[in-house]
Amino acid sequence: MTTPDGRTEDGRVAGEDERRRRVLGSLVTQPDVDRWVDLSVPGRVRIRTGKAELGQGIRTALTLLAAEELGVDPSMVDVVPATTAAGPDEGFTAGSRSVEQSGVAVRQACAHVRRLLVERAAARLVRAKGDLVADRGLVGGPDGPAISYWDLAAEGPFAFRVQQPAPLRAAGEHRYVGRGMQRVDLRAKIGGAPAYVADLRLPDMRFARVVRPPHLGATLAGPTPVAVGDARVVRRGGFVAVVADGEGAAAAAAARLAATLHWVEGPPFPEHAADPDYMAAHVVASYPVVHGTARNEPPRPRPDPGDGAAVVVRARYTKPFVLHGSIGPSAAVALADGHSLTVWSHSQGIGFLRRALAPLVGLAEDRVTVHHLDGAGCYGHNGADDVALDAALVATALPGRPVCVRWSRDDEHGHEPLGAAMSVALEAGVSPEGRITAWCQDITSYPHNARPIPRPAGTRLLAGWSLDPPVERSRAVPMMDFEAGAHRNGTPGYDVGAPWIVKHHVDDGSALRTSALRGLGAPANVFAIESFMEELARAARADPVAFRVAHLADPRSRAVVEAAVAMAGGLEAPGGVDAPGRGLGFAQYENSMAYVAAVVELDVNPRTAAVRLHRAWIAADAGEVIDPDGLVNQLEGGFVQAASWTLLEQVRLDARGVASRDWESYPILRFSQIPEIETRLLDHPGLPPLGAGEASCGPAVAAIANAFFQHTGARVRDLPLDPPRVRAAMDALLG
Amino acid sequence: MTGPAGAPATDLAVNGQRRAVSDVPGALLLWALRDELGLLAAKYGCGVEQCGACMVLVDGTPRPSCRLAVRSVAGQEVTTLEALRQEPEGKRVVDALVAANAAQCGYCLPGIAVTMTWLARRAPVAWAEVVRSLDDHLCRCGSHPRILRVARQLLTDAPP
Ligand code: FES
Ligand code: FES
Repeated sequence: MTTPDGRTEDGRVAGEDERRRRVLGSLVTQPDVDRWVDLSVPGRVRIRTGKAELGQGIRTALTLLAAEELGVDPSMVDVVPATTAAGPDEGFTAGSRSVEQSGVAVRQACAHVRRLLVERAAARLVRAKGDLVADRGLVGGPDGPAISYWDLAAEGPFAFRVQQPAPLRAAGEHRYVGRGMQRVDLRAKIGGAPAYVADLRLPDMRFARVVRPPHLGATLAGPTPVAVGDARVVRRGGFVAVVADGEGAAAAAAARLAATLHWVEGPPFPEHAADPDYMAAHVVASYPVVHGTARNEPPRPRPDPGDGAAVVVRARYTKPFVLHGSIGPSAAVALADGHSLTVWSHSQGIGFLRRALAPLVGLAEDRVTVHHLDGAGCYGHNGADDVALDAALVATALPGRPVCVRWSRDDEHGHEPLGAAMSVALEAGVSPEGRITAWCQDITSYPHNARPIPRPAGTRLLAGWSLDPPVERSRAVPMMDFEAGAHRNGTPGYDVGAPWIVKHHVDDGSALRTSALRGLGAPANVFAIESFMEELARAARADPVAFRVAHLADPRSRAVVEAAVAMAGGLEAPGGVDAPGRGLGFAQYENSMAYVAAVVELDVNPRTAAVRLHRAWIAADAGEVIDPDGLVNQLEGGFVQAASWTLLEQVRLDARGVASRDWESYPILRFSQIPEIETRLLDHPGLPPLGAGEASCGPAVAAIANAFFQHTGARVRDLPLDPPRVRAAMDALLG
Repeated sequence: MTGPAGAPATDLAVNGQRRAVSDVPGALLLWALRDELGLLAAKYGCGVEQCGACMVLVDGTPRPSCRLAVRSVAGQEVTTLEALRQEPEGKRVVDALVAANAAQCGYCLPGIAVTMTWLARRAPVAWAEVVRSLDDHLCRCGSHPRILRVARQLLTDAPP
């Protein structure tokens, strides 16, 4: 989906030349180097980015790149948190694109600044540019005087707009890139220093909690008190909050207030919303996916996979709703004075948030400023934007006082947009020679993007729907772009001719809300495709690795598959009949970014029917590696989160809404369940870096499902692989 | 006993100092630390003792602070990461986690560092006990493999 400024939902620019995007990143839309690089403070290199630190380590990667290109020590670089008040607008921090967009832009901007510094020095020293080098903060020649970067920068803004790439430091000369460093933000965070939005303390600050309806879609009836004890009640239509001197007092007052409020239930919540039949009954639009892009046209006739096939296989795979489940509930701080509003938020898209907030608080967009401050990991669109509106509404009622609003755990589980349930139906044939004849794929999914991007009418911010008068909920629309939404990795990376792929957009018009969660449709699609490739291989009596490799034309794809299998020492675990199972999962993220293959080894606890992960081997090719340690951290973190989805996670729904309201009713993977993980990076210096933050999730899900099959002989096609499912699968096997 | 505004107050021993905090009915230690004493290392995660983000030491033992009534810890020694990170074991734990980049968003880490400091004071500890103790903490980013690696090096001399 494209927004009015020509960006897609994850910050890419629609229709631009791919080559320019790869070499210039976000400079394509924000070409002014002064927006990115600021040498106004002597001795410091300040880098501005539009991307947010989400725990992916972008601040560290940008530090490395700036230090490298400008030839300064990384300790001299400050990456300034993103703000709508200054610096580049880079859309959303999403889709594993921070390095591809911001990293590439910062690197190029710094390379240009280095060139411009040399030009200025050449003029001052009256020397040829070619005789001068910029390094370690000084521009000079092998002999003679040198001038500091900051002296040269003091001449004024560079006022240079990047159109063409500047030469980068050669890979052989790299001091920092490819070596990695200590994450610049972790000492404060790990050591417990204030580092997050909810740790922000401003003079005269107040704290608020919102009382949300007990049923999704319920409306508030009757009056509310003006205060609960010392805590003031702020009400706007059906939006109610309590404000106190401390967060604990606000939480206690919210609990007391909640017990007194009267709500009128809305229509019953669709408790069977994850059921594939329910989903099929609520498909509102279907689109063919051609070359990775959804098209608003009728699909071509469905081919018959039976043509020329020795065997035909059909299977349907499903994934339930899952939670983002930030460990720290969403929070925001806001300060209003009647003419303007300032918000501190851990939103993934501060520019979009600003645009969405302004009309709801009755201000022009330029009267609203949003500063990014770190939050707990969000993994997509969680409550961050919604709580920013909550804070803005409360702050508007308390002019001049900063207000911190934080959701409770119950709010977060119960009101965050869910990761979409999906169903992927596959049909393909295999010829007598072992080739796939035709590939048909139906992807049925709830929306993956309900982010608060500008819409013709209505709003996507939660509290907006209960204002008086309510602002209509702007419902999510299908994502059509290349590898977007439900069809992310919905095209097999295998050589299967021209696959027939249709995506079906589900919207039941209910209070249910789904939005972007790490990988969007990719984990479900990769789970389906990789499970299905093994089902096909088995039907064709072929070895699952050889069958894949035979259908992989791309050498980089083959290389990661072969590397992961080699790391594991093959897909047969030692141990004879009692051996654990091993399985493989592979995908190139978005069929255009990092390549990841994973092998997993597991068994099943015979007493509890819980799957136990023993080991995992990950091989990844992310092009040129900027920060190897950061990359491994992302790949392994993505693996663990995906393993948690696969083995444990599904949101329970009932007629009131989300019934999983804490970590007991929604368990996630714990320390004792973590396998030994080994990761290998296949580095390609000189090739563009490829986004990898979400790339290991799909392969992880698939590898676990395939290992479970190898171990038990049972093919589980519906996630999660939790003990009830494992028991049912094993019972079915015994007939 | 009453506090400055006449509200009921309780004396707590926090990080080796006597501190008066208000003791309205239901007052909880996590909020006394964060709201009244400005000690922000203990984080709010769930409020129901399920995630470990709010971990502190009470008389030297890790306890989630989010449901502990202020009144119930009067007379006991409360220690937060702000103090632990100044002590040799706590500093060693934090330094080792930082050096290993053993976090992504980092939100779960202060609580984990409290538990690991408690283990470090008694190191070497059996691996099973290390894992059991870490199981009181949730991490959503999947930083577990690194945290476990640091724990193994620091807390046990008998890796499995
Ligand atoms: S906040 Fe105390 S255990 Fe979660
Ligand atoms: S590092 Fe983010 S929750 Fe643990």
